[in-house]
Amino acid sequence: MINRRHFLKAMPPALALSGYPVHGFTKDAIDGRIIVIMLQGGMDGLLAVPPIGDDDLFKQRKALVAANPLKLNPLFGIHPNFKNFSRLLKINEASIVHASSFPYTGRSHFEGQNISQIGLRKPFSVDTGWLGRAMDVAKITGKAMSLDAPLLIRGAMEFDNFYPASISNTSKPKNDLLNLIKNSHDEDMMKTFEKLNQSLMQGSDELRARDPLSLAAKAGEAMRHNDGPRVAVLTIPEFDDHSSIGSTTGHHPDLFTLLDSVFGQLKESLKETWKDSIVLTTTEFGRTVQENGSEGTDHGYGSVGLLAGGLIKKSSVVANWPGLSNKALFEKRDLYATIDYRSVCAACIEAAFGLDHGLIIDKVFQDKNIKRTYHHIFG
Amino acid sequence: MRFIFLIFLFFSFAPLTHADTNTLCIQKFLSKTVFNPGPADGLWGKKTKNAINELFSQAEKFNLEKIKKDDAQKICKILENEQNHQLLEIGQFKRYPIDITEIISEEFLKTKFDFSNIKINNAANYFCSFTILHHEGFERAAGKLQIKNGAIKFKDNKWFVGLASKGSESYLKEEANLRVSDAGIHGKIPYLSYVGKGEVAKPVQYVSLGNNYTKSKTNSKIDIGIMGKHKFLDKRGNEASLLIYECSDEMKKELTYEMLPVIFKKLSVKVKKRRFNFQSVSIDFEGLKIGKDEFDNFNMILMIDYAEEGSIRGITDLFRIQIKADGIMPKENISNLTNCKNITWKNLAYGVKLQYLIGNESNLNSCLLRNLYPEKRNILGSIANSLPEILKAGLGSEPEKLKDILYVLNDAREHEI
Repeated sequence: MINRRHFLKAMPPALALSGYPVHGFTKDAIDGRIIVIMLQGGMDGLLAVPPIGDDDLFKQRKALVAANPLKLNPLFGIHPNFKNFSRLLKINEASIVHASSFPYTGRSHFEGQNISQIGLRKPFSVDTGWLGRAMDVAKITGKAMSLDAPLLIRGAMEFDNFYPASISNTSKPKNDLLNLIKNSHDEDMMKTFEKLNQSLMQGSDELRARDPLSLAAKAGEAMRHNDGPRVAVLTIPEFDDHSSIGSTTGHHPDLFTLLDSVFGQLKESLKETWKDSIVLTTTEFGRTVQENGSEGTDHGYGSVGLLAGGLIKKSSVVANWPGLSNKALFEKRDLYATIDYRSVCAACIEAAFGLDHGLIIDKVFQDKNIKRTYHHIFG
Repeated sequence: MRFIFLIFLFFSFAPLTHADTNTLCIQKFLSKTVFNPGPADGLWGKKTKNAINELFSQAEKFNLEKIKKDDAQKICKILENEQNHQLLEIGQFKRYPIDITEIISEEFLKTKFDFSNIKINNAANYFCSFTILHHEGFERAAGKLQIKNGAIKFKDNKWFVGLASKGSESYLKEEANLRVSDAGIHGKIPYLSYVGKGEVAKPVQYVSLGNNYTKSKTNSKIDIGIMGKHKFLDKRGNEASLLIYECSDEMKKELTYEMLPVIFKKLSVKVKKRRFNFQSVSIDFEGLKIGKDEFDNFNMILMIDYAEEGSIRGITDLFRIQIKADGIMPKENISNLTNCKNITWKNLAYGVKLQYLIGNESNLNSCLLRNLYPEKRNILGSIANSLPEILKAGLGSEPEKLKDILYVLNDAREHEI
């Protein structure tokens, strides 16, 4: 039987591209790009973006605060390894949403990752992802073709490209199948399938990059073309640090450096398209406020979301800061998530695909209580 | 004692006497947001004042001075009108502005370089060819560049390794930052490492070029700091170099030639057995006519140089047409061939052999063609253009051999710059 650790180890860094424009079918009004970076294992939001103005931080955490965080404002700082991201904050191309989480208070990676991808309250309740459904609503077709496309981008219509596949022989599309699909549609759709077919075949003998930085470069290169994919999903695993998480240096800080490089690489490789793009991180849950006996942190509730892209007009930290006193913690151990992270996802969909908030929360997240954060992030 | 009690009562109920409906209106509105005004008691206190000012400051669109108690009526009206909905939405989350005072060094410009201590040769204006070579001689990229007022601009080029192995030209064109001095080339360029079969493609490196310059052995005047090898180290400490050659002070236009029909009376095509990485195909024409040129007998060899296994450049490392120079090139031009890369010609016992390249390295053909008799320049290009038909005519009875040779010919063409 697969256990949690094997489950996490089995997931390599990956990239999925999706949402190629279909001739005569795609809504052309807003040509935004969405890139989701899934931080698997549960990122420690307090280590990434410490609330340095909250005295309780230093009472709760003795060791797990970086020695020299960059001060963002009187309340928040950011880990010094986020150099590219800090620069983006400074030039109003990034924002942070703190004390946030998907609506999941359990502590299972299986359930948490499922909820962060389906965007609903009940795990395993549907087999489509919130981004896939958003593409359906926005009529952006051209989705994932292979069997192991991430759940996040699965929707009703699925055609397109994914790499690297972790299931043998799924990374290459079946020519016969593509031809069959192509020939059974009208002329406009045929053109699209032909294009997809060509793009897949072109890359089929290419060496496949598997580290997040190279995958980010690949994503940016593909997405910057007019007929390139509108959506990309990158995965950075290994955030599940129960021991020796690190503070100024160490495993989690190394992952911050990697994540930071991915932000930098995306900006660089998207080039002009960066102005129409939004990159957001997701993680299945946060980690406990206090360190455990092994200098790590355990599965928690609230974490932090990092967003960057040209669609952001003014940088800020968005938070209804709950505080870190014992009384303020969720179940006396976790950062209380006061923002449903789906409201952040909804704002990104609104900014990139031009969909109405009401439509997004109804059709994509199926929860009319999700509040609108568009003004706070993109206003 | 009774007096003190009366005073206590007075102060306890005194606020009620000052309760204000406009303040209460503001407090009721704020209570639906995250900006806490304290109890909704109609009293204008510090909490109410701070909360409404914070909300309006966050909303940004109301260009008001600091809101005071006297503004309560005006504010209440704003909250009650159509803006109410948007303000309520904005009031659901707090936005903490970013105020970074520390200087964060610019890192996006990976090829940023300080040229202040370098005397740039502003008079340098040339067009050149270049190759980026691994220290063991493996080619990483090739193409053209222009030197304009001492600054280098990369033109058409192609990488053969790494992330750009499928032909991205953007790295050097968009990111290189190089200047020429009398001592060499300075600045930074993006550099892609070789990726072996099944290995992970490595991120782009940004490497510095400095004074490690070895000028070329040609007699060209353009050898001060430009033509020759500019060595640099990659991040693993491996040596590589930017080789600049064939510089001219005017852009050498690609020689255009007419594609003429290739007509012949008789044809013999013999596919020789492959030896190691090499294979040759001998083609003998009788009664060959290309435009006004007629040859009773014309012999040429297709020489195929197969790539090593796992090569990202495809299966064909080099595909060329070999012909004798006799009657095609004036003898006095033979010495000019030293300016061309040596894979375009060879001086053998029977005379000079010319090698017209198809696909890989075909950008070098211009140098060769420039030295032919002008009226003969159409011959090689026309033959190259008609090769599939020539091969079909000569190998029709051997379909397997025909298929194999056409396959490598197509592969070579796919890797053309």
